[in-house]
This record gives sequence, C-alpha cells and structure tokens, in this order.
Amino acid sequence: MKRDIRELFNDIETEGKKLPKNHRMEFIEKLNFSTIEKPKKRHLGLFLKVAASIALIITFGYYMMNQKNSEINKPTSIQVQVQQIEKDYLQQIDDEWKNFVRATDDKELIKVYQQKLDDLNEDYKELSKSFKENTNNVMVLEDLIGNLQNRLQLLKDIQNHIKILNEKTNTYETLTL
Amino acid sequence: MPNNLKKLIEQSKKGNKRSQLKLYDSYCDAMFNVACRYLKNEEEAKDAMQESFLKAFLKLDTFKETISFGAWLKKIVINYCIDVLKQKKLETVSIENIPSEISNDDNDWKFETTITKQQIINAIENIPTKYSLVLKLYLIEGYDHIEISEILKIAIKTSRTQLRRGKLMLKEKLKTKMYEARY
Repeated sequence: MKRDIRELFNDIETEGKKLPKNHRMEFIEKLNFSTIEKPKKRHLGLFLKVAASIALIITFGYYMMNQKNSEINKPTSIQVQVQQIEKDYLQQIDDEWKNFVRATDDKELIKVYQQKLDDLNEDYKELSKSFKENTNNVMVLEDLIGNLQNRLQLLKDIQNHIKILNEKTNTYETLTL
Repeated sequence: MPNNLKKLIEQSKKGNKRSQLKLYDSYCDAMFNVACRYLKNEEEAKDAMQESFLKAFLKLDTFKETISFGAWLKKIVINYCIDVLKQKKLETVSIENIPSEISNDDNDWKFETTITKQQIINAIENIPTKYSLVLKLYLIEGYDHIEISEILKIAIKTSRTQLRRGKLMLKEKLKTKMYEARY
C-alpha cells in the first residue's frame, strides 16, 4: 500500500516544542531595545499640547474679563481643563522618562535627571497649591504649564543627545535585520 | 481577519509595545516550532524566532491581508533561519552521492503507508542541508517552487532539481529504514 506523503503534511500541527521559561522577559528586553521612534507623531503631539495650552490661556483670559463684568464664577470648569492638560502632560513625561531610562545604562545620568525632575515636581506642587487658592491668576497657570513643558523638553533634549552619541558609535555597525 | 487581530496589527504599526507583545504571545509558540525545524539548537531557534518578530514589527507596513498574518510571520521566520544557516555555510555534497534521476516523476510522492510522518521527518533531517531545506519548504511548509526559489534565492529550475534529488535521497533513507525494521 502506498500513499502520497504530501497529504500527510497538510495539517502540520505544532510539534509541541516548548519555549524556555524566560523567553517572554527576554523578548520584552529585546523589544525595548529596538525602540522605533516615530518623531513626526511625537512632535505633532507636542505641537498640539502647546496649541492647547495657548488656547486654554486665552479662554482663561476671556473668563476673567467676563467675570469682571457679570461676576459669573466657574472655577471648576477651568480646574477640570487644567487637570486634563496636567494628566496628558504627566502621561507624556512618564513615557519619555521610560524611553530615556531604556536608552541609557548610565546610572549616574539617570540619577541626575531624576533629581532635576523631582525638583521641578516640588516646584509644581507649590504652584498648584497657589493655583487652588487663586484660580484667576493667569501667571500661576502659565507657570504650571511651563513647568510641565520644561520637564518634557528636558527629557527630549537628553534623549536627542543620547541618540546622537549612539549614532556616532553605531556608524560602523551593519544592520543585521 | 478577526477584528481584534487587525486592531493589534494597526497599533503595532504605530510602535505600541503592548500590542506587539500581544502579537508575540499569540504566535511565539507556533513560530518557535517553525524555527526548530530549521535550527536544531533550541536556543538558536528561540533567538531566531524573537529576532524575526522584531523584524516583522519593523516592516509591518508591508503586510497585506492577501495572506494570513501567521503565514506572513512564518515566511519571515523561515527566511531568518535560512540566513542563519547560510552564515554557517551549507555543507556541500559531492556528486557521487546523488542518486540518478531516471524515471523520477515530479508528482509521484507515493510512499509506503507503513512509513510514519515522524520517520519521514527524521529521514529528512539526515539528508544534506541543501536538499533537506527544499524538502522541508515543499513538504512541511507547503510552498511552491516560486516561493522556494524566492526564499532560498535560487532559480526555480534549481529548486525543482534539488527537490527531485531530495526526494530520491529521502526514498533511499526510508528504504534502509524498512530494511532495518524487517530484521
């Protein structure tokens, strides 16, 4: 009796070879090292954030003017907007921080930047305290957003720096992928 | 293609790590088994599989829905494994060892029913790499000669010849198997 062996292989089931236990962790590491930055999108994001904050300041100014005339007080709506912007920024800062930590293995550098960010965060706490006391102060609002922007820029700058350094060292490496 | 897979692929294109990891989780076992067919060392197979995923994420834009995502991934894995093998240099075979090709019909793959799938796989492993590769790509992966010629970067004619010779070697190997089994 004979049969066509090609049909034998029509349904090739997984032969049940088991991956080593740590394969997932290992892959996560590899994945993190192969960070594919999409700078265009990020810049657009930053641009939108800046535009949003400018728009917020303008609306806030408009509120102030209105308040003087009609004494309508809506601090909650402004606070909600500020909270939203704050949330977005913190998310982005957090992401950039993770990228940064991934991009370098210089513990000292990470420490220095952690310190810088912590200082800015302390400032921010002070600022938001005074913002709660006086929601109508445009200067405080500007400082708040400026503080967040500083943090983000700080992380972006250092990452660019690392990137340039890496590019210099990698010039002679060929892409094996 | 199921919607959630579509979504995962879309997000992975944008560089979303979580989605990429989910894709990895769903396909890593199958792809590991594919890699193991070409690289005997499991550590090596695992690395090849993982690198293939990274490579796939980089060129997700080229994925078209005309084939399944699994089939697309598989091709990348196989290509990667072949590259690894090439780096190690495929062993060469002297002409004397090649059985003659008389009356060897391309479409005749009839083998004794007593021969099991596992026996065939084992026999393929014992054939020189050059021929076992074509055999695996044709029999196990189900690629046609056009696809095989692309993967191995050889002419279609060469792919046909190597498969024909591979088949003869396979028959030869299995013949001795039968012989051994009888005694």
